[in-house]
Amino acid sequence: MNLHKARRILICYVADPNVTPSPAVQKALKFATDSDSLRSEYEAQIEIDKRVHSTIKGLRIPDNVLSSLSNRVAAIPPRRFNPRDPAMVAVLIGFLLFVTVLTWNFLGRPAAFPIDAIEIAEEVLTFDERPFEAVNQPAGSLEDWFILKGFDGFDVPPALEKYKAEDAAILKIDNQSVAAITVPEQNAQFISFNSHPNEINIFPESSWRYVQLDTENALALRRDADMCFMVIRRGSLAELKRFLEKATD
Amino acid sequence: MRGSHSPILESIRCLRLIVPLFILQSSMMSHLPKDWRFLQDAWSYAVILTGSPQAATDLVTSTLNGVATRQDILGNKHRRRVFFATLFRDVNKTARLASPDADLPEDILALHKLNEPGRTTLTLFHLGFFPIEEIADIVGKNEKELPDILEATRTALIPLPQS
Repeated sequence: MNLHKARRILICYVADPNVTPSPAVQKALKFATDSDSLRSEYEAQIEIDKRVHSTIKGLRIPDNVLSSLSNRVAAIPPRRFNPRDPAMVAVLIGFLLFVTVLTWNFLGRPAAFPIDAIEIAEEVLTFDERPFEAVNQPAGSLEDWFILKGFDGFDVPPALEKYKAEDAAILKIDNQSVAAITVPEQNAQFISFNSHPNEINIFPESSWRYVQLDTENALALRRDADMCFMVIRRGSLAELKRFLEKATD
Repeated sequence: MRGSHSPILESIRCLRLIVPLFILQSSMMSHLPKDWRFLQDAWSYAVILTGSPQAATDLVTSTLNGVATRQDILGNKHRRRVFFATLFRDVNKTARLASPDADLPEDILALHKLNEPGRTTLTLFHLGFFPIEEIADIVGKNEKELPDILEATRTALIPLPQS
């Protein structure tokens, strides 16, 4: 710190015994103790400041004026809603963020293809043991066959009931029973399983979710009540969509 | 012991005098809500600006009326700065009083006679409401100019009479 800088700092400093001076002011004050000229200037400044301070603080607002101002302040209407208020903007942004997170959680997750269903499809495709039994019946007529085998709830969407199932099986995947039938005429497998163990949600119900599983297989999944129905079909995603649209028509 | 002056009894007697005074002072302070207590200092500043308690009252009242209609700063932390900046602007856009209030004490008159922006700069420094950059903003100067302004203003006050 040099004399010029210390002088400029002290000029802008009004001593207040209740406030600790900033480090810069403390340095300047220390500098002033070593400089005769700066010390005398600062002492003169202190004298002037004392008088100015006592003059300003000695002014007392008359009671009637204070009372009049108080009444005027009391009459100021409470603050109305102002959308440009930063506090309001912050609250609004927070609310929108909250709504976005909720929407993402409740709608976004069901809109995506459930990971658990993909895992089931992968397991079905790579199942080492092939416990399939020949059935040679339309897919829609296999509900009783599965009930006799111990699987309750096998239900094929009406549009797919007509396709002929060559063989069928109940697979155990992660302790969950999965009903599977093969439909060779469409290079497809129809899978049915309970949605609860994996908490698979699809919104809205009975709508299809699609995903390209790998280069060879595409998946379509829907949920009706508690049961999920999945189509695993060889080919592209577009071909699978066309197949389901055609079947629905 | 009955006739002796016990320190405890003396303290209680003092408290009996001090407490009502404290309550009286608090009730006077409580005239204005906390956020508006600066109006008392704003009035003092206005007296220095106008050189007349009556003109100061009128100025503060009209400024308060103006602020009361501005919803954007009513709940704002910048309200105090806006208030003082408005006082500064409104006083300095009109001509200075030809003859200040004759009853005004000489030391206040001396402050009133100072030139702007030194008068406002020095007063605001002593009121202690604002940091240096906000004072510079109120008087419309660069922060680096304030040391020279303050020095010149204090120099002009050297013959200030004792209060």
